[in-house]
Amino acid sequence: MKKEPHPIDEFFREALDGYQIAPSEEAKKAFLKYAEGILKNSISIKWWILLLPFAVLIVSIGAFLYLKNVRATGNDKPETYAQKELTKTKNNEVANLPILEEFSSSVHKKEVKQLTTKGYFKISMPIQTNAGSDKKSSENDIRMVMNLLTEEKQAKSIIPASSILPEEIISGQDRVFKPVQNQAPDKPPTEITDTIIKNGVKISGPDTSSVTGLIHNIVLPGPKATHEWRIGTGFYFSPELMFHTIENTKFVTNFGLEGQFCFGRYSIRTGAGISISKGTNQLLVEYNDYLGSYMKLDSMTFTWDERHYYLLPTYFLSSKDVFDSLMKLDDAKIIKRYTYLQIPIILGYNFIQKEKMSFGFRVGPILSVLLKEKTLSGTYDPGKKQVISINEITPEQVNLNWQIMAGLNATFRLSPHIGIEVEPFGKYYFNSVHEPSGGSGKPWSIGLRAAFFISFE
Amino acid sequence: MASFFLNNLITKQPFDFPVFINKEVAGMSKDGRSGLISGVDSYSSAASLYDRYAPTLLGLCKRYCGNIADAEDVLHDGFIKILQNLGRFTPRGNGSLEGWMKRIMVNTALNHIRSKVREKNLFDHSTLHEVCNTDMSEEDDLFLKEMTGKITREELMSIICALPPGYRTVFNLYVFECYTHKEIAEALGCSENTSKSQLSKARSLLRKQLNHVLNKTTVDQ
Repeated sequence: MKKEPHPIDEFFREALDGYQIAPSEEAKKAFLKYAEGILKNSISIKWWILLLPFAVLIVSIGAFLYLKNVRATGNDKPETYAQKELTKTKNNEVANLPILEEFSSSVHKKEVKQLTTKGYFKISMPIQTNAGSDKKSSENDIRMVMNLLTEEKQAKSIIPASSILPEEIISGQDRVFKPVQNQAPDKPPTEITDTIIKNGVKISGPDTSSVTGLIHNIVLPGPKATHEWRIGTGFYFSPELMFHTIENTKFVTNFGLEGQFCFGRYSIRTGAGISISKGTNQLLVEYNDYLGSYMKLDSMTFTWDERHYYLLPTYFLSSKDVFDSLMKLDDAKIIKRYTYLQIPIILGYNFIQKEKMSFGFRVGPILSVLLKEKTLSGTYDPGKKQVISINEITPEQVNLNWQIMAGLNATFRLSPHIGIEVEPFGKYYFNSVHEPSGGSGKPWSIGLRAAFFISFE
Repeated sequence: MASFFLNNLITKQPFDFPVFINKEVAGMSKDGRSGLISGVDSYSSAASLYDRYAPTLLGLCKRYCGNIADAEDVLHDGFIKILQNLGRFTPRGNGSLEGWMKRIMVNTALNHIRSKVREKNLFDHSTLHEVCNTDMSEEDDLFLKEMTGKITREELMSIICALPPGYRTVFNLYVFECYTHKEIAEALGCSENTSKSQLSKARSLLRKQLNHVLNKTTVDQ
């Protein structure tokens, strides 16, 4: 219905259009002081958000430098036959080379162990010399081993395989081994066979026998075999900060147990987790104020008092509340804690996969089912007010929602079976009641997942 | 560290922190909502918001409250509400932020008035006899033409502030907020007839006051 214009109304409306009064400095200070308190919490949360990318950046740089360092160390030395074999097995684990010599019953034994890092061999050499044979030969054998030890020292405890094992032996060619200086020419050549066995399987044939020297057999057990697939289980904790919700910013805590199946660089992760968040259910209550009460006279009876000759009244009263006729509005907030069961199905691929760490991305859907909700603030108590109506301004959260998660995963192996994961992630909520009114977009969140896992091969 | 940063924010204003709100107050950008949410997360943004809108809103509050002290109280409460609910504001075009803020201020002012006066005081019927004829449009036209240029805005504001609370509230809602009598009745919990009569009496009193000012000005001249 259109209003009838009135000159007085128009006069005042035009005259006071844009009228301003400068607020006092005290009023401004009072407001800003109060605003500071409101903003303090959100600022501290923002700091967390600002720090998160830095943390991710630092972890990424650390991982990059670590991997670069590992590669550089591995490329310094020429690749040996054994290394080639290791490469073929796609594994950089340390090889174990027990070298066994059996000529006769042993007179004395020497064992040399050389521990090496990646690309180099750990050598175990039980040396047995025949007491009945030439003594010099035994001494020469020992010298040869000592030479090897000297080389080891020179190499600062790191000995490449080529420095220990002559190339001819490694490559399987028959050669006369002459590393010892004072070996008598008339000595019968010591037979050596360089049968190379890796994982119990003979690599080079037994026809490479008859090599003068000490070493009889070279057994290459090879790197510790790792399965291409692996299953694991673990515990995760992932705090998360939601944005674009009906309550602006919202903090959500997730934790739970999960299982992971890895196949090469690919992985699939699922499990059961708990997601806990707080929500505010805002109510608009229309009420009439309670003003007081009075005793209402319901009825009265009279009894004739014969002694005093008058009527004795008896009053029947009841309490009656009085309410203001002016309707008032009250904004009530009920804080609730919502607990969801989360079932993720996360697929992953590792860009970088090393022995000690891997780096990749994870993406997949997460289903959330409401398990229970608990009222933390107490239900709305109108007191003695006369409630006319209660309207929900913000609805309660939904029972079921879907999210999609994407994140970068860094896995650090503390041991072959134990590891930790760090995973900054982002989530998009498909059907969440967290979303603000107006349909201007869905909520999204960022968070950091930390997990501890045990894997079985 | 956060508190240190916050102290810096307070003492070294204006701090070089992204003040997204400035874009919004200049005329609601396309993604005003996210900007606003981000904007009020900083102290300086809240100050910017206050500096820009407080004078207009204080004028509005004074029209409802009748005095500057109460108006500043309402302004304070209203701004706190604005700050807390800014994330729920959905922009719909230029100027909608100011309209939304004004609505919050009006509601805050109404709550303030309700808390101070009861209905019987708010709608004072004692002056009903003073209203002889509320339909004075033609006379008013001539009279108001005379008034033009002879009265300042401050004087007009003081005339409104001098109205009884009920008159003033209904007059403000009807004239400045463009409420209908039905909406006024719902907002104030009274009947439509009460609203109409209050408005009528308010106009009558205003005219009387204007006349008084005009006569005073003529005598002075």
